Amino acid sequence: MRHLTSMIRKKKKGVLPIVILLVILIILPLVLKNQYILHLIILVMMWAALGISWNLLGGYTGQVSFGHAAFFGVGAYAACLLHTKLGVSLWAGFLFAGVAGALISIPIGAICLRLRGPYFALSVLALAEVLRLITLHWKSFTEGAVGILLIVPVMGEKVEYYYLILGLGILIMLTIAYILKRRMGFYFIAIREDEDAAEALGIFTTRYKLFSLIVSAFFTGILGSFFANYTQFIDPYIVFSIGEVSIAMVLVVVLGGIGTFWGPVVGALIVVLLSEGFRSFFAQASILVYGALIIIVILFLPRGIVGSIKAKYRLYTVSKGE
Amino acid sequence: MLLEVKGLSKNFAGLRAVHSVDFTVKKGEILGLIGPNGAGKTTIFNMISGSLKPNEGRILFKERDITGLSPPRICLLGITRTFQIVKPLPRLTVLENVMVGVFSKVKDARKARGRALEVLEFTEQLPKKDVMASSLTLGEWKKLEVSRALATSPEILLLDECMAGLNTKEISDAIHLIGKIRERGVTIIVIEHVMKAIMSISDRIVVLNHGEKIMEGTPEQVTNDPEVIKAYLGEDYAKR
Amino acid sequence: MDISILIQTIVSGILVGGLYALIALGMTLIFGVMRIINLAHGEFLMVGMYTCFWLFKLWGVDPYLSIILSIPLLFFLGSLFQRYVILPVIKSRAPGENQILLTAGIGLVLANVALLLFSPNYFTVLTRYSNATFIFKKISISLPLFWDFLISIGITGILYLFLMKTDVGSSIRAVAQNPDAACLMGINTDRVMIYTFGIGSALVGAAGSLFMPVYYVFPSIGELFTLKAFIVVVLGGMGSAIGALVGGLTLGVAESIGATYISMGLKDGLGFAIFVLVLIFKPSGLVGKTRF
Repeated sequence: MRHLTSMIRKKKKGVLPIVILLVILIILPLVLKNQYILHLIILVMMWAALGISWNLLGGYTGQVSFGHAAFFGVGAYAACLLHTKLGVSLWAGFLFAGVAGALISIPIGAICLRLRGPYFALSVLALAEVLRLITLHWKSFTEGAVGILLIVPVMGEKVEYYYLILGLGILIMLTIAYILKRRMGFYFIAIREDEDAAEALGIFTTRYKLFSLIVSAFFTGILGSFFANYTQFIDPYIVFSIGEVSIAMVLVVVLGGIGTFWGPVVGALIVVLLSEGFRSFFAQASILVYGALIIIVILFLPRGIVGSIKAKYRLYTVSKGE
Repeated sequence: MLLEVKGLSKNFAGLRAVHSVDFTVKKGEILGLIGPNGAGKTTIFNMISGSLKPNEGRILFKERDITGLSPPRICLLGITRTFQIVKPLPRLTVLENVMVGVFSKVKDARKARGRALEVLEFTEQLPKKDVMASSLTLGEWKKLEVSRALATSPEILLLDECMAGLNTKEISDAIHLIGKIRERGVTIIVIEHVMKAIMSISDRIVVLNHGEKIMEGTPEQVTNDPEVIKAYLGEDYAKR
Repeated sequence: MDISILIQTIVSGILVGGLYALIALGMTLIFGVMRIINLAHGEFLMVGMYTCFWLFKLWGVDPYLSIILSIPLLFFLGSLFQRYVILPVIKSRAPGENQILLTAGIGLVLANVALLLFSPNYFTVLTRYSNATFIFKKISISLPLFWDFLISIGITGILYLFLMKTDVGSSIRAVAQNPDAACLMGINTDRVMIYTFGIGSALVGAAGSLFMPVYYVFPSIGELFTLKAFIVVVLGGMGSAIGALVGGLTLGVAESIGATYISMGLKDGLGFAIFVLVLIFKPSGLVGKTRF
């Protein structure tokens, strides 16, 4: 608490809005009883957390992935299967989900991150598809297309999930903020900016790309398990989906601002609200919305919302003669 | 002998870029590497720094064979290079750029920052420390390359045409800086086309032409050698 | 091990492989020239297939005749996307990932439009010859697949000649090797890129017509075949037309062997396994870096 207040006093500009936001988020469910709005905020927080996890690898390290559903799905299935087959507690399932995501990421990272070009981005996509097929066909183990129903998930009330995802989101954000201040974070960015220069400065680029991937996959896995508990039902088409999971994550980050800290939060807010809006009126066109949004963002706002604001601000401060 | 290059050769699909080049570098000296464009100078740097694997030959650093090691490994061992076409990390500040270099030897972020500030002070780039690298001028970029390379605390610094495109004042600043670096105890190999500069700073010079070493000696010996003059047709030296 | 079954398996695999090669040819051409992976490639295949289907359903046009219409239609569609959507992004020197993402967006839009227009149902084209086979030395060969194979090889050959012998083809190869140098030589690189994307789309559109008699179309078929095309391109070598052929045949045979000896559901597994092996041991592809 003392640290927080001294932080507020030291950097009044940056920290105060965040603290205010945090306070609002914490007291919101106590004030707001509308379950649907609570549900929306939970979705926003979950997608923000997913976006932030993706952003570490895609935005800060420059290794874009079109198949993060692989880690999401593996996490979801790991948590559920450990529970239904081995009776492992769903709380422990969260950790195992993260570990599962991280483990799956290692072979694909080791093979593809050595290579330059679109190999990694698409090989993860291939991995997600392979995992989907395996989950679909290995009926004896995964129940296949029937899916897994969590009759008794880890908690019962929506409010409880609200605080859980809020906590998870904060944890993920703090972890990534911490990494970015350390040597590892600098190395991630250096790799993104110029891999040759990075190597010339003593950075073992493949190794660090792999670290970034493992952290990203770990958190994505945990979020997969959150999803499984919250929606109580998973199947291969839902959790390994290219459009609804992998590309959605990319959209959230690119719209908000790839490589920015708060971009994914902004992106999640917009994407969730828009797609929920469309779902009410025009359910079948939700993918169309994603696709159109991607095209519009890349054509007109490639730095994303937060990125564009930052760029304009920088231009403004430079022109003021700094 | 700090660095020994023996029989170094590199072919690119039939083109002999470097052919059987030998030279040595003593600790504390400044070795100049000159030759017309395409003579193979940067290719040699690439092989020493690990970006390219030689087809033949060996490179020995402190009597240890470093031929074919990866670029990060070679940087950590003590040889750092700059790039002819500058490679700033555009979306990091000058200070952060240098910190990346420091991190190769220093793990703690706060200590790295302190050390980076020292480097920037040494290279006289401190005023620009919080400027985004993308907004610098060419001269500032070139200096950043050097600052960043210095930050890795190298024993040997490979400077690849760090004066190309600089104006007269910037060139004399660069010469001054290289002198300071040498005083710090860093051994330097310089590739340069700006003749006046390289002649004034180098202890010895190796001359390449068409991938082969045609001459080696002091700056006076090299400038008077008929083979060297023939290779260059004397134009470059006459211009400057 | 029954030899005749093995031969049958391999032959079927080769025939399907020819089709895969044609599908991947467009993607590798686009990659070779513009260095982007077109994630909407499968959706262009889908458009070609729906075109074939509706031409057949509404006017009874035979699939093999509909190629004549699919090719210009898809060429036009591809050129349009390149000109108005993709080219602006390339010219803004956006990072490569943005370009790939853009094509992903196009793919999603196309797939969803198809879903809205045509419903999620599966459609097939049943002609007199859809199930016809003929016997050659004790091997049963599907007639439409056989024609598809021949036509695919034919189109690949024509493309190769086009690239090697014509001016437009040379300018395409020039831009593939070095866009800046090509521009300095007076080649209109923008137009070349538009043509290339158009040709790439036309190729996959033709493949759509060839594919209809032996498969079925539905809106999400794009995802599946974009991935397959990518695997073929990696197997063969990015940017190599010969590579697309080798990669396609390899994938076709691998899937066929997988289907026969492992199981129908996991037939893709063998293809993926080879894909991973290539990435580990020879990432530049089986054919490698030969330009076209």
